[in-house]
Amino acid sequence: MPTTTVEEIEKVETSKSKKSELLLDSLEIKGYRCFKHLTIEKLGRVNLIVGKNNVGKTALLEAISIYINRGNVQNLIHFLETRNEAQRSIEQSSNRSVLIDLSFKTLFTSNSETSHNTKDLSIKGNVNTNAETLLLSFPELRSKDGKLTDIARKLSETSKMFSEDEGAVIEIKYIKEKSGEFDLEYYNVLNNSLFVEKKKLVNFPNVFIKVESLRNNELLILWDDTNKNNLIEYAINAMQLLKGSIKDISFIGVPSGSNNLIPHVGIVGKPTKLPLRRFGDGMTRLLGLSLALSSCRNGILFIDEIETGLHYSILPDVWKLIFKTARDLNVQVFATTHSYDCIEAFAQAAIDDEKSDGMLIRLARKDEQIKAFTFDEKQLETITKEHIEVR
Amino acid sequence: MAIQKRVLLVEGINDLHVIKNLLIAHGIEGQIEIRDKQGISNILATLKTEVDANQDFLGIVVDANSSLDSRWQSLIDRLKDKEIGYAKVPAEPVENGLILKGQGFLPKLGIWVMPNNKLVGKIENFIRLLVAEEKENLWLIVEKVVSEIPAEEKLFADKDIIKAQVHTFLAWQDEPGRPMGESITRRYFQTDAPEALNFVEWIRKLFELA
Repeated sequence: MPTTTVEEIEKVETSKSKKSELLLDSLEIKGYRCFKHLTIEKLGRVNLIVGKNNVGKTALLEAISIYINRGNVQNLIHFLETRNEAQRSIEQSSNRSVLIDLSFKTLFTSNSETSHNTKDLSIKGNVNTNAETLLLSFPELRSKDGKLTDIARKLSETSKMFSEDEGAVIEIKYIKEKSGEFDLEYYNVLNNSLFVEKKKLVNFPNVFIKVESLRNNELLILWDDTNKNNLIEYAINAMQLLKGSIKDISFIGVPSGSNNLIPHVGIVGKPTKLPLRRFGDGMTRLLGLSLALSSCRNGILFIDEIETGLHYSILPDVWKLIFKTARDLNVQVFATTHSYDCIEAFAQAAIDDEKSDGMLIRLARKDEQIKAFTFDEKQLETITKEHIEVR
Repeated sequence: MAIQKRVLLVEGINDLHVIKNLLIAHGIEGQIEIRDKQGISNILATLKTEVDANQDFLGIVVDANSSLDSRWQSLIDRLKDKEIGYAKVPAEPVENGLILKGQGFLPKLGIWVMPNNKLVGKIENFIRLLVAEEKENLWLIVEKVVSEIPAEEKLFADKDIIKAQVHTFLAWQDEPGRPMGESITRRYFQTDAPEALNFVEWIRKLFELA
């Protein structure tokens, strides 16, 4: 019987993954933060989101992450906390759940005072070419005749801390439009508990890299994952963009009393391994990026302000690496940037890599409206050739 | 207020230099990015990309090479196309240059048809309108000489006669044969000729420059 190597399987897999087989190929967001209604009809494999300050670049990453994690509550709370929104009313109450209750509404309600009634958040996408919708809402707890609704009854039976206050319960529903399959959960913000009505669907692997570089322990988790899948080569290739003589990477404990394992690299011709941080922030960023890429196989990677810590001169190589790895490992990438150098490097890499599927997404705001403009490879070619500035 | 983006698209490198030098002479060049699109067909083909990339101001300067109306028609057809979607685009060229207010996410947009939104022509016809009064006589001589070239020696097409005239005129100055763009600020042209002022006024209004 002929044996098939891992490499051969990979080749078959990647040649089959045509552009239409992206994990997520279109998106419609209603009622998330600044987005009253945002439609992106066509996504690419590697997507770079640009736009002026305060047009919702990070919010778009968040919305996609919330969607792809199917409304996972911990993920929602995490996004509130990273924006310091969970601490908004800390002086009024030391009760953490109340804080979360208050701040959840800031996720849903659009900034505008006038749209006070839109408290539902819906994100609809095409996942593996099938329409799937995530719906977050505050369910009715009492019907018109004054009786508790079914769900309110269930929640009040299962939890002593049930409250009818507006915003105390969030309904999380994820629907596969075609088959009708769905997940349905209720989150009680007062006691931080989840009432699971129905939960079957499996999540996709995904990692969110924020502006701050990943911490050592976060890197370690990704490294373990990457190591397990024999993909460390990708990380080493990435770091060689900054320093060609790096030959391996390992996590080593230090005798300083801290039980953290610290990333170290081996250098050609040097007998001892050196701590990664010695080579600057860019190196740590690059390691995080490449480890995250390889642990998001068949999933999605989010990178906020991708240019952070990276000198503009290596951006073309960074993008080249991302395009190649994303294709090899079937990862869909969503990144944001403020840097025009970064946009130029992205466009050039997208053109150079003929099999790539890059999409530049420009968010623009007019008054309360936010709109997404997409630039596919053909348009990216025009942009690069004629030096059209998109930002 | 964030820096506003003011982009002017032109058909060729000569147009770019002439307009650039004219705007320098009027002290407003630094605020406008002028880009050579290498022809009207590329302007039309990439208009959506330009409009999507530019949120603030977009100006377009085109030649009326053959027929003023057909050139105009192709441009407004593209602007009205639902892919781009400007409304209220006039059916005829506008004497002082078209200016369309920004609509929704579309940039404020202007169109100038060389030389003056009325005549058929191109950048050389515009230059002709800027010839200094005291050089009018020389220009008449140029016209005469160019028209007297024997048929067997005349290699250029009739539609290019204005180009032959302008370059002949430039060849007969104190420093013969300087390029058009650079010549425009020399004393044999008037950067404050009425047609030049009209154009500059259109630029100021479109890009909201004082």
